[in-house]
Amino acid sequence: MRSLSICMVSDFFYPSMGGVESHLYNNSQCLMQRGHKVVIVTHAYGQRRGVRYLAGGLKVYYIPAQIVYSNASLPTFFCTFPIFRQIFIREQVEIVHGHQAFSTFCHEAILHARSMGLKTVFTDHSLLGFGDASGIFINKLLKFTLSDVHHAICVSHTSKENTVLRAALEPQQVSVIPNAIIAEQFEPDSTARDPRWITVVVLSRLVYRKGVDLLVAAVPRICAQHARVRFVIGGDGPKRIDLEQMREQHQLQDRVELLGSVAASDVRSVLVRGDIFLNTSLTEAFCIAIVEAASCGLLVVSTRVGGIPEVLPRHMVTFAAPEEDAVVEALSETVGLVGTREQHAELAPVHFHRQVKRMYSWHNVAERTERVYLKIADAPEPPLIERLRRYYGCGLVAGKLFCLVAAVDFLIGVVLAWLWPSERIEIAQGFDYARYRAEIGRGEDQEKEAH
Amino acid sequence: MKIVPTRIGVPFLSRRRDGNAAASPSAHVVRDAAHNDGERSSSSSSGANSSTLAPEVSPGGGQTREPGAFTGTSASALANVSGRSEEARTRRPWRKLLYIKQEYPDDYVDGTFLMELQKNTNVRMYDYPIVVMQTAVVTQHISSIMVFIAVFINLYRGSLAGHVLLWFSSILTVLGFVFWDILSLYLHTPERRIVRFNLIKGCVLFALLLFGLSPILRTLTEDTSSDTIWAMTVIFFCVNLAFHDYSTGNLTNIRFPGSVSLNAAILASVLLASQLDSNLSVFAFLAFALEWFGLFPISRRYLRRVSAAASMTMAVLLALVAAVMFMYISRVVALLHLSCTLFVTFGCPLWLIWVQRYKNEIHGPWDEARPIVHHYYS
Repeated sequence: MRSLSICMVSDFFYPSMGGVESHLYNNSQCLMQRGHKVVIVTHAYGQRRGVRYLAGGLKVYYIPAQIVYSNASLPTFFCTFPIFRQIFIREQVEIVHGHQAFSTFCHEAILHARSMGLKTVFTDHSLLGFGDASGIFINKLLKFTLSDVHHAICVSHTSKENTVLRAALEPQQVSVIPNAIIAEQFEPDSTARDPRWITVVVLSRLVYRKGVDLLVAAVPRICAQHARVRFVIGGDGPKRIDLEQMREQHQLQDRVELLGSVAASDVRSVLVRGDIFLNTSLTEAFCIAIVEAASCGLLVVSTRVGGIPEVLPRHMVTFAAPEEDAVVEALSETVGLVGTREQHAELAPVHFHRQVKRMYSWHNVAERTERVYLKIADAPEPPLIERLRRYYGCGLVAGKLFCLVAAVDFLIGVVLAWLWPSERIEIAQGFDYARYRAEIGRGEDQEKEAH
Repeated sequence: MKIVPTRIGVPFLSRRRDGNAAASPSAHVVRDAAHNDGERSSSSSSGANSSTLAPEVSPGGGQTREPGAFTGTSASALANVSGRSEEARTRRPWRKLLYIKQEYPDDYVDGTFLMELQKNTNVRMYDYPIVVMQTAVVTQHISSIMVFIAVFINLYRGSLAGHVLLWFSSILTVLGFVFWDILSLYLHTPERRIVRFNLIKGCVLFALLLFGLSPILRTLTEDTSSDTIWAMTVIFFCVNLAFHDYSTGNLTNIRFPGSVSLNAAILASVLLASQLDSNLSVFAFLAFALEWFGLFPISRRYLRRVSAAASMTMAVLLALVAAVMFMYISRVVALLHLSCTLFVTFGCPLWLIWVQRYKNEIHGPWDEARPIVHHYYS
């Protein structure tokens, strides 16, 4: 088995929370268990800067950087080259894997890695339209980065179609590897439910893109139709005020519970209180929330947008168009289904959990990601002129601009190689994974003995 | 307006697509698509339907297998115990799902790829005569700015006396007021409840205030060179032109982009007024500016409500007035104005219709959905 040295780069990593963050962490852990060396590079979060080790010997570089907007760092094009070069050489990186199109670090790392002749992979975690100004800008940037990347990964088939269109890629160059969950952390608990009520759980950031307007419209109608239904809504955001207003207006204080933001470790305890999980997102590449809910044994009601129809089988989820009437109808239908659950073996929560556990696991994700790495690890390195030709094809004006950027970056690489020759850069000591595991194992044994 | 929905792939992809996709037979694609459609229509009732879930969840799919090593653990394959060779021959069609383990590599491109892509679903086909008629709002505004500048130049040169302008603009305002009153009655517009006394009181107060301020306004930019004033005026009139409210038929108030336009025009007028030499001229000019940029656009919108022909007549009239007034100042500008008006009226609509061919708008399942909320309760 060939061992690779991989560097994951993204602006989004712990301590901030989200889909990209957990993907990076879990995928890295599983890749390390498969015998690869993984380091993560992200920007500094407040006082958390420098080099840190996380569980399992996962090394994280928190690089000081200026943050501009929602955790993305300031685009500097070339300023990050020296530090990225040091890290890539120190860690003897072979493959640079960038995550998320909104991440400046990801784009810059891929550009510098290409200037240094390393292999690059890009993972896209979200969908983006073609109409608005930010979409056009990000898409152009993505085209630049992806025109010279060895392979791209998307989290759903819809996301692949989107990325192929946005970045004008060959579809054969894009793999679909879904996200996953740690199913063991999302086990059903039949004792947590309140049998007097049929509880609908909603867990999402309360923002426009998550369809809170639909939720605000649907909740009072459902409460009027079904006397036994109550809502538990977790999450925070600018749209929370709308929900509170709705609750006041319809006097549903005893039937709509607003939890505020829910910590990742408490997600399961909220989910298991419910019978139905409601998701009203307006756009979603791959919805981890509904997978977690299904794993906890909840029936899922979701809007049919983005990659959501690909995620769960039909007996677990009822789809609705992103319209008030459709959501109310689907939810009513599912409320009716809750009572009949005991008569159908395949609708039992435990059965749901078993199925989801088989469908999604991070080990599977890591295995498939590894397959991508192995495929590109020995790809021949094209000459600089071929790289420039690819950038040139990006657009009438943009193509020339991109060529300029790539050429300057290459020259900076030459200057850096003269200033700090790579043989004079100290190689980082490897982390002894085997010993770490042995120590952890011994610790656990001692704990058991103490008990 | 016609809507032309098309359901075609992106050209560069169909050109590039090779190997995998080309090899998959078209019958496959049709079957798959039909399958998907069926699945969609039945999805609302499939919650308790257990027969559909058997093939979807393969019991032995714990690990992903290499395409060659796939042993076929789906329900149908188990039922059909006829050996591996046959399974290899009849590969199950690829499905756009993530929760099943498929016997295809992760980078497989199916024939159904981008099937849901829609191009130019909301393209508007323009009708030339209608677009020509609609250009009237633009030409009217350009002409009105030209007339205003011509009035200033005449005032500046002394060929137009301040009191003449004052009488002229007052008469026009009264005429406009009568016109407005009649039309309000006739069109049943919302602001029929005008309290005339209040209106007149407001007018008088405003005029007195302006009259009192005119000496200050006259000396406002004494220390600034005229060239700066001209340059700034041009900039502000450009802003006025850019932000003018062309599209809404708003008859009662002035909202955000339109208010920027009005402010720019008034600022330009104040700058120009400070170049005049008598207080009466300044007063007359600013009163005229307020009427011309504040009230006149509203009356033009009323005219548009009456009929497109009336609006067009006004546009022609204004263009001619502007051209005639500039004839005495600069023939080049007058001719330029006329040709510009002609271009906007007849050339730009052609141009707009012609560039529609380059419209390339794509929609698909990745677009952010627009939630439809009825607010039955609120």
